[in-house]
Amino acid sequence: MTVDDAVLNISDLRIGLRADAEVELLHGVSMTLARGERVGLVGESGSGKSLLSLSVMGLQPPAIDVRSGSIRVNGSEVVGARDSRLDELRGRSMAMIYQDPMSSLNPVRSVGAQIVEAIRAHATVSRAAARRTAIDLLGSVGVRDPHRTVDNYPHEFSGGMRQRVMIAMAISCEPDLLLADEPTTALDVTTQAKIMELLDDLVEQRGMSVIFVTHDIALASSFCSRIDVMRRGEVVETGPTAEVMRNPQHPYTSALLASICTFETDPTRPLLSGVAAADALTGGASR
Amino acid sequence: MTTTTAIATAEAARRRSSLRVLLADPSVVVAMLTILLVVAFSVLAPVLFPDANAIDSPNRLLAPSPSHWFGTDELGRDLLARMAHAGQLTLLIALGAMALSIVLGVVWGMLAASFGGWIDEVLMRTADAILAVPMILFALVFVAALGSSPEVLIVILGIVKAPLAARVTRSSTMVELTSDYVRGLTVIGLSKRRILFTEILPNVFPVIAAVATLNIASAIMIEASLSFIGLGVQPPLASLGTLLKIGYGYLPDGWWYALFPAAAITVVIAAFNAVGKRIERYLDRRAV
Amino acid sequence: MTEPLIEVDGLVKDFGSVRAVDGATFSIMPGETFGLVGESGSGKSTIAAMLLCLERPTAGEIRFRGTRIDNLAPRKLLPIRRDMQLVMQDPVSSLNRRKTVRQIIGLPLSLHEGLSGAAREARIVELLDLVGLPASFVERYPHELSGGQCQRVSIARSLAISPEFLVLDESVSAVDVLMQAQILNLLNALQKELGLTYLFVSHDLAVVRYMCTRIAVMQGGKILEVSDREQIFSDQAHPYTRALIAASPASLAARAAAEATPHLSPTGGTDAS
Repeated sequence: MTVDDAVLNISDLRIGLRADAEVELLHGVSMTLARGERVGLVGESGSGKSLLSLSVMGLQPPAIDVRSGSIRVNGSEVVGARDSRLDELRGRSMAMIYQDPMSSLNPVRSVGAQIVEAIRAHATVSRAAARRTAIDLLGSVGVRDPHRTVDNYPHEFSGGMRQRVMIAMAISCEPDLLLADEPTTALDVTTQAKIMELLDDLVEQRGMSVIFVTHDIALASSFCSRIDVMRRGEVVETGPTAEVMRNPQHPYTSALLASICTFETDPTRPLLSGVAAADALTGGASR
Repeated sequence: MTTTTAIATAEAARRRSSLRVLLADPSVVVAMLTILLVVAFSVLAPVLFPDANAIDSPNRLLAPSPSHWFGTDELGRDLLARMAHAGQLTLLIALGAMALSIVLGVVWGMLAASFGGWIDEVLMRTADAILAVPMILFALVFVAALGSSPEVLIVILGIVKAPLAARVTRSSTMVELTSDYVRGLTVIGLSKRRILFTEILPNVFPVIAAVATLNIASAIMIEASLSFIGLGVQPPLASLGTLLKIGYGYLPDGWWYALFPAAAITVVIAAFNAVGKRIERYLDRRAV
Repeated sequence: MTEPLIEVDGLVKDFGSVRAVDGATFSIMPGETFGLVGESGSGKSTIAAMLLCLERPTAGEIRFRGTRIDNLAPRKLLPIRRDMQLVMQDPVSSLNRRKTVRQIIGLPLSLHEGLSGAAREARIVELLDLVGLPASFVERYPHELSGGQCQRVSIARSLAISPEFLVLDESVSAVDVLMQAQILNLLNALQKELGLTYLFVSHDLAVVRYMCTRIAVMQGGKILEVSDREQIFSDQAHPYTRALIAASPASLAARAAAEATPHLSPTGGTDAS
């Protein structure tokens, strides 16, 4: 696999605060994603994982600057690209789903109208054809009675349904890369499982590559073939899921794995036992 | 904003204290210096101009000159000196009114927010009623009934401006009452009264500071307007508005007599407004 | 036979026409960690609120050491508050951002024990030490602390006047994973040291299994079952319980790891592990 075959190629990306040259948020991150590959970007708050995925879309906040490095999506450079170029890439080549669907869905327009708008931004099709596609999409993401609900407003759907609508909108233009930023964190456990199953089917069917951003390494391991662990703006470990979960190389990853509760965890023993310098890793007890 | 961005921006912001953010805006710096100057001038009026009221009839209505920077009035008194004393009275009335409006308004708003129900309705509809009447008209009616000594003016202006403080306090308090920390304090066993005044009030304070500053500007304006139509501060006492009224009468003979008080009133109101608005904008940004 | 510390009997709570809690009955024994599990809308947080006398039940009784507490006048609540405390989910918003750690932890000390000055300061430092924070933190404000540190301050404050019973309402849900593990360890250590009883409210079944010896599972305002740990995580559990377990990330991960070919590898072939 050459660099050009990659759906996504991030090379030595450095990002920092525009107003303060001393503050660097991503310290030279590099990453490659092949077609059909799913990588779990796992980290705690402040690790920079969300910032990284936003930067791929060119959606980093105005206060943030990309200082150096490159992000290539399907070979096209995102860093420093013109807005018109980014508009072309977003939707066709890459799309993003978020933790809070209400923040990505316009509350005053029907979901159908929004999906149609997304479709027609990237392809010349009639409104009627786009509407048919929208109804099909809603059906394929599991929204009940799509012929009727296509004209509903976002607030008329439940949390899990809204998430499905957001997914429908994201995949409407058949992107090659899907960025999922904690898409299930705000959902109940049973709803989360259903959405994960939906994503699994959709991604499989359409051959999409996925960056799955999450703080939950167990969830990432259930969905992704590769795991990249981020900490304080750096990728500290990367590898196939099974390897990382069973045989972590970096002490931070070991600590993460030793912290989580599974249904096999021994209730009589403290967590994180056997992990040296856990305090230093969290900046906890002694600081 | 991602967590990373939020953490970084917060750290960077901590390195710039609130005061410096405020001072970063040059117009605010000018405004604050102006206020400082005016306040200093007024406070020191008795010291700087001890004989402001010395009548010097031969020198009546002299145009501005090196010996009388702002000219003289119809009794030969130095206008600058008179303005310094008048400024003191204007500021005293405005600050008194502001203080009263804040004390009244904060208690008003907090009671409304914490009791809710019909008490809230009664309190807030009263506030609405007062706000519905144009401030000058409202003040006029009370002056006609109660006279216009500075003390009365302070009370009237304080009452006129209290409903705004009440509204702002009420909405801010209502937001705070639903927060987690209030819940936690209730479980700790703190009484509602103590929660309101020792825990919530410090959080509401910044919003009140904005209202207070704007209230000063507003009070100056109403008082000047009242004095201008002869219903505010009466001679022999003089506020800037009174001076303006008298000066207006001498307009054909002495342009300085009207101009300088008018300019002073305008500048002072503008300065307090600028600072108040800046505080408001700063708070809006922080809330986002 | 030991008397229960908390008894909940036929508890009902209506908010207008919505029945948030529909007849809850259970007891909590002294020294145990009792788990209350459910998804959003299950009513678990409402039960916690009623136990802490933040909400009045529409029907039913709550007894603390045999005495009814659900119908007490506000004035009579103060002594109860000494015995029952709360640690909430959001570490930062659960503390007053305008108060220092000293003021936050010192408040219950001055309020309930009338401590002031050096005695109060000493106790504050003692409490900080108990939760693993340095004495220098007394000067800090909540926004100067990390989420995990704020949560520790909350715990320190809740323990200030030596309560018997602590409600942990999703107390580790909003904290990073590493910090979560440390706080769970801390809570267990404190329980042994101070003889505390916990009500552990959470949606995370794996964590509940780790922390709790007896667990109540709720759905739609009703308690579906109350059992001990072994029972809840066995095949004899209620179908809803088993569905919750199956849907949890820990189970999803275990299943994916067990499958021979979970997903496509980069080369398009199958993962041979």
